[in-house]
Amino acid sequence: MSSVTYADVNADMLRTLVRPKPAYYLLLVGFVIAFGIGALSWAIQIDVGLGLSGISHPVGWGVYITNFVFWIGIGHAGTLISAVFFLTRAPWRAPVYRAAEAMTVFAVMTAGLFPLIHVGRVWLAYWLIPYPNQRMLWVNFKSPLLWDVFAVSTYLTISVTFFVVGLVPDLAAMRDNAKGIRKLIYWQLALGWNNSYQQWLHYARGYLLLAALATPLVFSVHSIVSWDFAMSLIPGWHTTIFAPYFVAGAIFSGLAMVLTICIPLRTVFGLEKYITHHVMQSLAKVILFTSIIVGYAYTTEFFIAYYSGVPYERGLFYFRPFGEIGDGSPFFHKGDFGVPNFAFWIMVFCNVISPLPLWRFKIRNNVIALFIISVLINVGMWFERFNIVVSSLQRDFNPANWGSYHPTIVEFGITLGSFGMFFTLFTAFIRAMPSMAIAEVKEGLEPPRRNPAAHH
Amino acid sequence: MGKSFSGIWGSFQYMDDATGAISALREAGKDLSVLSPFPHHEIYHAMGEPQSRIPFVTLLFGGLGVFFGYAMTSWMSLDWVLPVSSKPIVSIPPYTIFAFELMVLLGGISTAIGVFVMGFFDLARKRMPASKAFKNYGRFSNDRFGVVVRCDRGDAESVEKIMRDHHVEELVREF
Repeated sequence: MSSVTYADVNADMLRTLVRPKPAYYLLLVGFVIAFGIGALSWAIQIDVGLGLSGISHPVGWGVYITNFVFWIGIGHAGTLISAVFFLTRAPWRAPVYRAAEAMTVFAVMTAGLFPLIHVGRVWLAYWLIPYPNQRMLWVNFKSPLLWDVFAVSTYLTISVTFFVVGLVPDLAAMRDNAKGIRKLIYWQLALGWNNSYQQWLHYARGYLLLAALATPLVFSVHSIVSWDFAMSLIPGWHTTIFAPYFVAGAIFSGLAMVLTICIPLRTVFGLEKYITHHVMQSLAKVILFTSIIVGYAYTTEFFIAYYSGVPYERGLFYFRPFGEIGDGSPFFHKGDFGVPNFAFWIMVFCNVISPLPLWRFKIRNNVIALFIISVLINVGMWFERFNIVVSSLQRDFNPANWGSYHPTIVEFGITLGSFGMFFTLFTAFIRAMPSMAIAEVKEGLEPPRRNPAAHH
Repeated sequence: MGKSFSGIWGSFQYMDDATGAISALREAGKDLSVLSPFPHHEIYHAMGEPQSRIPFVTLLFGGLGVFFGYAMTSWMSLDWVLPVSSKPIVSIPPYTIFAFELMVLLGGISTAIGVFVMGFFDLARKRMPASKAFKNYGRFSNDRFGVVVRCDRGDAESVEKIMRDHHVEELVREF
């Protein structure tokens, strides 16, 4: 970015906000249609009832909770990049952190819908919140599900706060460069920001404190989500490694989604001089690192199941990859190799095998390869959540309780709709707001000096 | 706040010019404000390392969050007792999660609000130019550093000399 000037940054950002190519609208329409399918599916489910989904005894948590955990995980990258990498002073974060933060906000919004979808009678969802009711009966604060309500709502609020605080100075920059109705809108949203050092002084310190508060939040949210599972006694869930395992998986999938959205973003809007190969390589390195942690966690789960000597754990961890225990080959039993087993192998391939090429510099430097790997990781992480949620419920302690689960078209529709909602919001965002942090990108540039030796 | 402004403002293309002018004006005892497209440590050094009071806001509200987290869960648990096996009615370890979440929630929101409220009040205390030329300048959010000096006509010459000595790009008098 050495050739980039401050004026270039403003001009390039303003360019992303002008009338886009028809392909943009085509893409947006596609996402809106997917969103519409999801909304329609949910409306039908509300009207008819939760029986339309494949959720039944013994699998009471299916695709909806899979989607919830998946989207919360995706939402991890934004705050990780904006808070954790801010505190660790990673210089490559500036060009991608705004997009990652927007991604976080939209992903957590999407995730937040799934508990509402999952409870069926959505109009009673407010029972989750401690409020003074007629019987003065309060919620159970010892339940991990309530921990989750507080964790996710706090995470969404703080993510939005972080996002807005970072956006205000950039909106002021847009206000000063825009014209017409756009200028009026940015003027309102800029909250009177005038770039004076009095404002920057509080801003810089406040941003640092927000980052310090958000950093433990990043690690706590997915730990608490993992305790939804780990605090139960179900085989495959009741394990102490769940919190770090989930956090690593969340960072892994979130950063993969950052690559998935930033690669088209840089290409379509010509932001190659900001979102450089170095930025993407740095993301790829963190993805590779977290992939190793995730792979290690998968292996540890199997080892502990074996080493514990608990037959239920051993049985479940045989069931996950191979299906039912029977005679002959562990693979391809007639009728026994079902959806969870496919989910397991897709998970292993996408999350453990597919990131391995990232060890090579050439692959990390290849945009198409990075894009393909990032998409594969997203697929793999969805199946990881599915594998955890569904397979354990299918096979608990009592064989008389065992059962199967097949997602229905309504669940597919709602899942498609969640992707539609996420991408609709993100696509709309990049047209309306600066998708790169203008002030922070400038901070990363060497200030212009009359005497280059004058820097102290 | 702007109507009563009396003084001079100028823009600088280079960081070292701007910080040089700021230091010289401060040494001359002038009352000034600085505008820049982003926060930079060199400007803070030149301004004499001012400190923000935001951490006190964060500490106060973060502490309140911890208090409310424990107080709310304990009071509600005692208000309607839900015995769960032999677990204590008021159980501190799980309630620490609520204390932590509310600490982050209240601390974070108050910090964000504090950033803008304190910035607004600090700015309100400092009179800024009200002219159209200043309001429509627009480059302080782009690629220029601005220095606003509050002074009367008598001081104008000395202020202008300092700013010109440091290669001010544009200079505007508003009296």
